Amino acid sequence: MRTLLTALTLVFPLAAFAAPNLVDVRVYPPDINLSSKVDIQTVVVQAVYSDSTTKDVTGQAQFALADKTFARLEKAAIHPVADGKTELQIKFEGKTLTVPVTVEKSGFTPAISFTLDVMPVFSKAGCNTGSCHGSARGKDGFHLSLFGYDPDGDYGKITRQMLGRRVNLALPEESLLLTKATGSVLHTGGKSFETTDPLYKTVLQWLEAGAPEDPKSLAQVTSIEIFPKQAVLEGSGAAQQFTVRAKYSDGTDRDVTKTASFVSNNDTSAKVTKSGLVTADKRGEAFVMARFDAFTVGAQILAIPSDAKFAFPKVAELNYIDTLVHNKLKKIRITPSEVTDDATFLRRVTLDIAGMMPTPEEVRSFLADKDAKKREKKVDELLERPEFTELWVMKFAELLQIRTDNNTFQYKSALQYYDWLKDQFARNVPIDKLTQDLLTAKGGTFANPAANFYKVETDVLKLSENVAQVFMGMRMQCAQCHNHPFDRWTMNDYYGFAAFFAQVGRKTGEDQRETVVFDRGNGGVRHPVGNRDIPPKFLGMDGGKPNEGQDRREVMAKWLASPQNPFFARNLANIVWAHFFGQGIVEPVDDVRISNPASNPELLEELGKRFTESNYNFKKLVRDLCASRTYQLTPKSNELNAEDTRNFAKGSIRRLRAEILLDAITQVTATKNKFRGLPDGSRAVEIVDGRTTTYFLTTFGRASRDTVCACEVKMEPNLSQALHLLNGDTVNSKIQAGGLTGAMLKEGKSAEQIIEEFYWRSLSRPPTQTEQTKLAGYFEEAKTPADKAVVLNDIFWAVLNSKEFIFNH
Amino acid sequence: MATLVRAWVTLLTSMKTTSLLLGAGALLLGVASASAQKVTYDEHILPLFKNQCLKCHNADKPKADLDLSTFGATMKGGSSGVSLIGGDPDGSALYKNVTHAAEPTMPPKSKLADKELELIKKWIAGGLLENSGSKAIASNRPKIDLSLTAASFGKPEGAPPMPGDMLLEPVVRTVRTSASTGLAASPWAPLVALGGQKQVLIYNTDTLQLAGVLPFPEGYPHDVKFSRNGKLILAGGGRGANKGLVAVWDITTGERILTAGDELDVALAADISSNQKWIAIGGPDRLVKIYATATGEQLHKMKKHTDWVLAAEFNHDSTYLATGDRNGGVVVWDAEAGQEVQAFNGHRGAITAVAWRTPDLLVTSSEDGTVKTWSVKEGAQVKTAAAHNSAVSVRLTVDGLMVTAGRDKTISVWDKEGTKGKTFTITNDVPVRAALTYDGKRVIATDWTGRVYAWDAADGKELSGLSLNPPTIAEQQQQVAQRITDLEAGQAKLSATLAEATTAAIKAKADLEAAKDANAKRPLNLAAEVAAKKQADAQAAIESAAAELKLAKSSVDRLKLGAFYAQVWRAKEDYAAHKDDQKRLLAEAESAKGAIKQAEDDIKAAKKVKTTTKEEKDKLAKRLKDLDKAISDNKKLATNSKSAADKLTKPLAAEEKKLQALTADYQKQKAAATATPLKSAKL
Repeated sequence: MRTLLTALTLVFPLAAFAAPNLVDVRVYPPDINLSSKVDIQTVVVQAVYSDSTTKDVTGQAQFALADKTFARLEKAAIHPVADGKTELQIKFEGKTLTVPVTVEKSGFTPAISFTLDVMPVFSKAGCNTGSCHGSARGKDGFHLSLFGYDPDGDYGKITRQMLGRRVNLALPEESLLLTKATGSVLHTGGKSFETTDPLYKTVLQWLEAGAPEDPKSLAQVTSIEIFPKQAVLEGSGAAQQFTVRAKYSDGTDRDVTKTASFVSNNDTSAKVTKSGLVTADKRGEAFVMARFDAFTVGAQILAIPSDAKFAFPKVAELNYIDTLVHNKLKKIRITPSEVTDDATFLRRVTLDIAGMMPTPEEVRSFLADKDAKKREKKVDELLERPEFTELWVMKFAELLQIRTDNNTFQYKSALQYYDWLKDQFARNVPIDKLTQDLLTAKGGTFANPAANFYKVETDVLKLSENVAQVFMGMRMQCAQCHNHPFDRWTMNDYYGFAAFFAQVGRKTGEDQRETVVFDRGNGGVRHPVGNRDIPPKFLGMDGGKPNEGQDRREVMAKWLASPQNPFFARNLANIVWAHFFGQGIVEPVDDVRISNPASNPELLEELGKRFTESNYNFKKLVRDLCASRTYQLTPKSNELNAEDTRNFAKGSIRRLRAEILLDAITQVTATKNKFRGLPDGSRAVEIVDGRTTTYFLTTFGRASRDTVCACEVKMEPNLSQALHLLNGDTVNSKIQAGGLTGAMLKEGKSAEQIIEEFYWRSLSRPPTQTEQTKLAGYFEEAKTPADKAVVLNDIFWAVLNSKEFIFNH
Repeated sequence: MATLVRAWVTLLTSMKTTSLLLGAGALLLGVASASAQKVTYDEHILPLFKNQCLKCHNADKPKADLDLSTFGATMKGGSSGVSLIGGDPDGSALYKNVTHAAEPTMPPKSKLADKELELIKKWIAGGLLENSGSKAIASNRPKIDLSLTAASFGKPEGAPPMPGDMLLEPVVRTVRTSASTGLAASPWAPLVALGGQKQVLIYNTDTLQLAGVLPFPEGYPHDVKFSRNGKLILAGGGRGANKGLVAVWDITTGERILTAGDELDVALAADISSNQKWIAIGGPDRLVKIYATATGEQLHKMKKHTDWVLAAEFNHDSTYLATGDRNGGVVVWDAEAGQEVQAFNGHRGAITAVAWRTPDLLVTSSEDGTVKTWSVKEGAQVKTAAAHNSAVSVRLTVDGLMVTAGRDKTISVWDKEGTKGKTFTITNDVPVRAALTYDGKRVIATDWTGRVYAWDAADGKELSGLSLNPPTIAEQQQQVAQRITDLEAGQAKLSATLAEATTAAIKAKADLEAAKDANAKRPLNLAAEVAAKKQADAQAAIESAAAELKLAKSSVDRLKLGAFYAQVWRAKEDYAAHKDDQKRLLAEAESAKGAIKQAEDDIKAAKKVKTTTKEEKDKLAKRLKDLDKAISDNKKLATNSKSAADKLTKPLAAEEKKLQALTADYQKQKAAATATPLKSAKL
């Protein structure tokens, strides 16, 4: 090792002082299984350095087979020779690794299969995409299933739909399927591949064999893997080859790198070729996805500029969150911002936890507090406030779509449902228990308001989609009609999950407004391909078969809200995270998919794990988030993190959401609101019904709760919001109605004092000297107290229209 | 005919899995390529345009008003004016577009290969030639007047039209067979035509022997029809997404007498009217086109179908044309005017076939499983029958017997009243087409694997002999020889069996007579009957073997004659091709002369131009130099072509003489062979 290092320093004397050490060498895949004469496995070797960068060293590593009687090497590909077991040895810079090699059926050449061999060609060549033959009506009279979700159907369409066209078994090379694909005849889609392409040869071989139909017992792909899972590429032009392996139901596997389709979600940072070679370019993150059969997997690519001088500053890590966030920042060579001041922290944390403004007294006493742990103490204090509960009841009411609906969901039900939810939170019922109660609810909705869950949505498929979206953060909708092209979900998964809800029965209770939910004990869902009944199955894992007479929902609920379901805790942790950081680790929070990966998977994983371990203790989770240094960062960026938006390297600036903004304006102007069904002076956060709204709330994007989508709450600014604050009746009338100016004038306060009070109330800080001086200028012409009051009200109005007020920062 | 041979040459070079049998045509290859110096529209540019541009720039759908499908239209340009300037590739809009030097880049989503761009450049630089002179036009010109008088519709006078001298050698042999949608039975003679690979195969349905091969080098015959009088065979087809056309042959001579249509995709449906004035073509472009047999010109182009046109048939008296599409639409047109008469909407699946029962009653089969009958006069459906889960074919005999085939793997025969009769089930794969022979006695069908079935309609017995991939004459000769050897070898054994059976029968009879009482007689009676039956069976076996042997022996002569005819046929093709080649060379020389004259005129004109600046002088000098070079080049070309053509004169004369001698020999041998009509048997 030492000699090697010396050798390196000799070659690169200049870079030597900064050269990071080799810390690990990884070989992929971890085992090599060849199961036929034509089976090949390519190997990728990745070196990991002390600065977290990686290099594809497949070309530099030395390969050797322990026993050459069973297999042979061709560059980095292993070919079978005879049945048996041996080892592949890989040497790189003094490190040696071994990978077990198993060769079976080395004399057996499998028959070419339509599903296993030909279908991947259509995906790889892009024939079955939505803009080509995969579109709902096909293209130019030829339709294939979108991304190949229906191989049997595609087989029929290619071979027998248009008799005498498409395939010619007598002269296979003249089959329209091939002449079109190679562009040797008119083809709207142009040339898909050359005659020299292995894709062409696969299809030709299949046609030459008589375009045989697959036997019914054909092995199916059960999963695919991509290697390596992550690459940190330093400098533009650095490359990493990926390899993809598919596993089949008969226990075999295949190297499908050549037939898988690759796509990068960020071409400016990392481009990927058809053969899976990723090349880094501009700084950034990319996710490279490989699609094969019904499966999609992804690998994370971090492209970082070569910068030998980068050093991560010594900053405190207050808890595990900071450690994990910093780990990521180190990898991408970004430094976090500074910690924000006390006043800003207090305003931020009060708005986030309680949905309110801190009162001037609170701010002042917090600033005066000398306790080193005052921030933590404040968090604890805020968590005990009823407003914390109310805020989360509102968020859950959005997810559960608590809203009246003409003739189908009455106010009485909405109120009962809301009260039930509020009660659950007030009693600190763990979220898993709450979720299970909802999902298994039965009986009359009056007696058991949780049963309203099944009254809000009655369509089996939509209901199951909602459950997946709300409790697991996944949008399953695509998989209803075709295998999800950018996610792992297949139609089987979709209908398997929907089957849990297929036996929910509903009838009207004694009161017309009441619905009685019960288990019918029969019924199912049918797969649109083949119209077969699909048994219930958990999403993403085996299991879910109910016992005879068991309510399917119970099986599902017991799994869904439990540690066995990794998505549950992670999703909730992510939702909470997004509330405090302005965006989720997966963003949007309800769109977890392979092609929308977490910006920091380790962090999300850890949050989910700890949330589970704490028995889904909400407050504990919030405490952890708020105690982290990461939460307390100032939004001011530094040179390195200015461009970054996804890695929590600086504080986020967020507009207050509709309800909280209205409550804040109401609070600082000392006025009251009246909403339907609530006592005078209630906060907008407490509104029961999604349909109850005001012009203000609607303008600022209050969720109407028509869907479970996180996008219901609109945070985007728009012109009517600005105009409403400026000219609308809310701000101005509230200033008038609150009469704060008059009262304070009456108390004999000076204009400066009153302005200062406005600042404390609204911005949690006194005005600066410059501000005071400038504002004082407005009083020159205000001689009478009435004139003064007008000017003061105008200043208050101006403060409430400032960005500093409208935003949480 | 020369084009036929040339196409075979390309076929030969492109096929690895098939053996091409008429190799003589390959001789031409050298001659043809040696003289192909100029880039011309017909020879080089159109094929390129076809693959890359015509999808959007064709006569039916000229995007930006640009139609590149003919030379004339190409020269005319599109909505943004003339797109080509002879001699100036870089100034030609078309060239700029294809090289992506200017917007819009063409083709929109890709770029042509460098080789192709070079070809276009050369063509423009070379002055936008249409063709190299008088290229043999693939006969849009009629060779005979086909139109018939009304009296000769229907059954022809005299004996039903049967094939005369016809090629018995398949032009393509393949490892496998493939689904064939071309199947038709002659309305008057025991003949079926099958669409094979680049050929139409005629079989005699009485003898189940191959009766002729009609080469169709343009591709795959998708639809095959007999004319109403049974005298002509028509094939509509071509190459998918590349070429669509219709070819017509005279059944008695085997001559191809007409080629019509120049579509951008296969003709999926085609028919010839009973008055033989019109040919209808339908295909993936959703249009129905009617061509005149007399001039080869397109008479009508009808837009109405909303999806691919899959079926077309003229009625008995040429008043109507019926067409059906993939979307379930059926349209009846006035055949002469090309106007819509009726649109029948009732099918919920693709129309797979249309057939006229009477001049007014139309029968249609559809993937929706039904077979419906419509009356044009009534303008309505008059009958519907649930035939199969999905009906892929319907055909009628002159007498109104019907046969249908469906994806349920059954083929059903229907009587004149429209009642389902016998149903044949196949297990191999889905049927593709089915037809009844003229007399309704045999059912012929094909399946997806390209297997051809024949059944006796009365007793349901399956017969063999028909194939989409018939053996070569040499192979057939071998098979026949083997069969004769086997039969002769079997004779002794059969005689022995007969002798044994006879002895046994005599003994049994004697035993029976010797028996005393009724009780003893009873078992003996039975034994005697059995013995007598065995004797009769043995006798029958001998007779059938003898008949087969006789047939096999006669096949020897037939095949010998067939092999001879194939030779004559090949010689004829070669001669025609060579002659064509000479013609082309001469034309090339002529066109070179024309170019010389043009260049000389240009020089004269150029010399008159006054020049002042040095730049202008240089430009002129360069132009004169270029023109001089063009003259000398063309002179060389003219001399070379002329001398090449002259060199061919002598061998051509010799070839013609040889051909005449060969033909005479063949006629002699044919006369010598006693044609014994054969009723039914294998081979």
